[in-house]
Amino acid sequence: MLSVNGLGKTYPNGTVAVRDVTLTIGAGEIVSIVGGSGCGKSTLLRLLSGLDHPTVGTVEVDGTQIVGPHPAVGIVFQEPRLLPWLTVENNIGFGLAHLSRAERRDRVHTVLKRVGLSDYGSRWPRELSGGQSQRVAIARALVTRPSVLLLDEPFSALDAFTRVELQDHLLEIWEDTRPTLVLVTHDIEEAVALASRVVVMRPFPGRVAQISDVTLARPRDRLSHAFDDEKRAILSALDTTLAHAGTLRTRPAAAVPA
Amino acid sequence: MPADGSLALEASAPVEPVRRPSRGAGSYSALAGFLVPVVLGLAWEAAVRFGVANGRLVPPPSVIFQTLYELAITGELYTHIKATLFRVLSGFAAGTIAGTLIGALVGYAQTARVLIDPSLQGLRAVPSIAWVPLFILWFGIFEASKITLVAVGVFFPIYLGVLGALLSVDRKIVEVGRAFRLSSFALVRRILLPSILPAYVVALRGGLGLGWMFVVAAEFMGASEGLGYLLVDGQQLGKPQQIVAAILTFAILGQLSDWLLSRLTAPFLRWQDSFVRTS
Amino acid sequence: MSARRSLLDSIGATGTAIFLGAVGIAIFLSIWTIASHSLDSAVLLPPPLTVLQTYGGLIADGSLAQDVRASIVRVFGGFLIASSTAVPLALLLAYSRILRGLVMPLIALIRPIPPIAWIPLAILWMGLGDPPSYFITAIAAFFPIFLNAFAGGASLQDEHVNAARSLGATPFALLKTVMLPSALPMIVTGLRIGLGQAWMAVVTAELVAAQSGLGYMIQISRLNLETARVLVGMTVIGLLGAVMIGLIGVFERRVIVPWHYPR
Repeated sequence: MLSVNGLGKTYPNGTVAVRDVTLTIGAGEIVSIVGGSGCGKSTLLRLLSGLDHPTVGTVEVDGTQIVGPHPAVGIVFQEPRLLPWLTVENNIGFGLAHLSRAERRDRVHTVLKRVGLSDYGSRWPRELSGGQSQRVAIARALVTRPSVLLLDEPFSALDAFTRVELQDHLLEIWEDTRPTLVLVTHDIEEAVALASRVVVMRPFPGRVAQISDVTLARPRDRLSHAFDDEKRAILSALDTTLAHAGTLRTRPAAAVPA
Repeated sequence: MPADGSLALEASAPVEPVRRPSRGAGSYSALAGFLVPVVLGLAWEAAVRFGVANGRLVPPPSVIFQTLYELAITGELYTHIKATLFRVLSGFAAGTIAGTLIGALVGYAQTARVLIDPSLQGLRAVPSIAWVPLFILWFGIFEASKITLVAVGVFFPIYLGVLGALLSVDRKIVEVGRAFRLSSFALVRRILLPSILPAYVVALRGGLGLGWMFVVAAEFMGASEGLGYLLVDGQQLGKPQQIVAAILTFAILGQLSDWLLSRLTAPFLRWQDSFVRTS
Repeated sequence: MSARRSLLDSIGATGTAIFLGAVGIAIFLSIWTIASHSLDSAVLLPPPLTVLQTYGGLIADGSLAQDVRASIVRVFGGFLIASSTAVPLALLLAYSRILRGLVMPLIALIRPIPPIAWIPLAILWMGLGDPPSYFITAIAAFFPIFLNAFAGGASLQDEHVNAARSLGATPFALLKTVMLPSALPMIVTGLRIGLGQAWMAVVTAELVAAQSGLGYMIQISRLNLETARVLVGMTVIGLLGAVMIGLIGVFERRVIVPWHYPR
């Protein structure tokens, strides 16, 4: 369970990147954070990961405060960021240095199979396509069995077809162990397809404008009217946040897990 | 077309587009690379044989090979090669170690960079060859000054290479290391070192090339053996064939050592994008 | 932490660079002074002050100016010879595939031989005195100029040539208005590198084969155990080299680069 309390980040030059974010995400939830540029969504994710430090407020994972990168929190970046001098399997096993060789090999092979790249273990990153690289990056984050997985616009650099493919794939993998997923994206369709809750942020300063539930049943049909409705709702929320000043609004929905 | 050659719109016959000559390194250019010098060598040989050209100042290939053969037979060639090789390798080792350590220190620690780099950049402005007299004053005319000169020549490319590579390390990759909570030591060992390896190898090869250059310069001043000595001796005795023989040997050794270095370091760079790989 | 930051902020980026540079120089000079006092030998390491005094002396009696002039004349002479042969040859080879096949192998063969190795041959061929120095300098400058000019010529884009020809350009006009400007940025880069190499070659040649110039000066000073003069010579060589290359660099950036597409 991820709990964010009054989180804020102000840079030394005075820019307020994120202001007063309070949020509770239950175990196994998929939450998507959307918003235009400058709204602070990536900064927020980095604060959750421990790679950046907040100026005010706290982040807690299962009761432990996050003060730096934490074993229970994995992160997938926008670029695959694979280490070019390591093979695919060594990249995936990068965070498993504390395990025995045998156990490491087992885990890596299992997760390789899970992302559909069993035969690619001894390849070099330069031999992979964009989609394959990102799958390896996801595998690398998952192999450490984090309880929270953060993804910062993981599919934005891929073409539309690969993107949908990987979105479905992510969902599939999530079904295995149901980690908490926090997904930053600018793709509304992606947010609606994956998330159970969508956090809409607005910029200057970056803050939460609206948190709404996506009540569609899984598996979700991207072509259905209900799907479109949800998309439209979020789009209009984004429009509103861009156009006027707004206060925090929450759509009435199932009770937020405490 | 206007006589002054100026550009002018004119209805003329359709112009064929320029087809760029293919620049690929095909077997043709490799063949030409081999043939042209050989043909020229043979032509010069013939010219001298037939008395058309004076072979005294520019010796024909046969005389050069003869000289090489004589030097090899008497064991002289081996002695000189050994002396020069020793100086190159010692100087290369010293310069590489110094350049790597100081470059790493300056690249990794901001304070060190502020303190050390400006002085080194200033020293770098002095062409390495100008250090020769000072080194002779400091270390005498024997081995130490020669090896030091080679070391100084090797030092700068390595230092700059390591420093440059460290300063341009991809921060996004470093962040992956941070995300996996690597200790500073592990960060250096598992991320920084491998990522600067390609640039480091380039610097090593450059340093080695310079080392060969500087050993010749060093051997010009008060050496009694070595390929550079053969050069000076050839000039003083009026034996251009000896000079050319020495230059040939030296060029072959230089290429050989560079080839060896790239073969030795190749396994560490298997992962490189082939477009980037320098052969 | 914040105090240091505000100091650096207040003087700006250039100010910071100058400040750090000054600190670096101060550190260097201090170490030098301490080292020379502990060694206590004018032959091994005269202190900075002595070196400065020597500077003054050499400037006053005009000998420094003489040596500087001799070296500068040589470097420009050799550089001119090199550029006037390298640039046309390079452009010619970039244009003609046949010539390229014939001449390139020769250039590739001669290139690995360092300029200094040519000195004994040059002396045998041309005798002692100035000609070998010019020869060495020219050879040293030739290759970087050639290689860069060749790359510049090879970077000529077909579209530009076709456009010009379809507008009716003669071969000469083509050369003047399309090929030369297109190759110019890389030619200037080659000239800059070539000048650096030429300067090194001049000093090298003067160390072994000349009777005047900065290289000769430091060699003679060494034989006379006048270390202060050696240091003066070394620093002048470094300074002049940096200035010359800097000037071409400025020319490169201000005159050439404004219109140059980065490729």
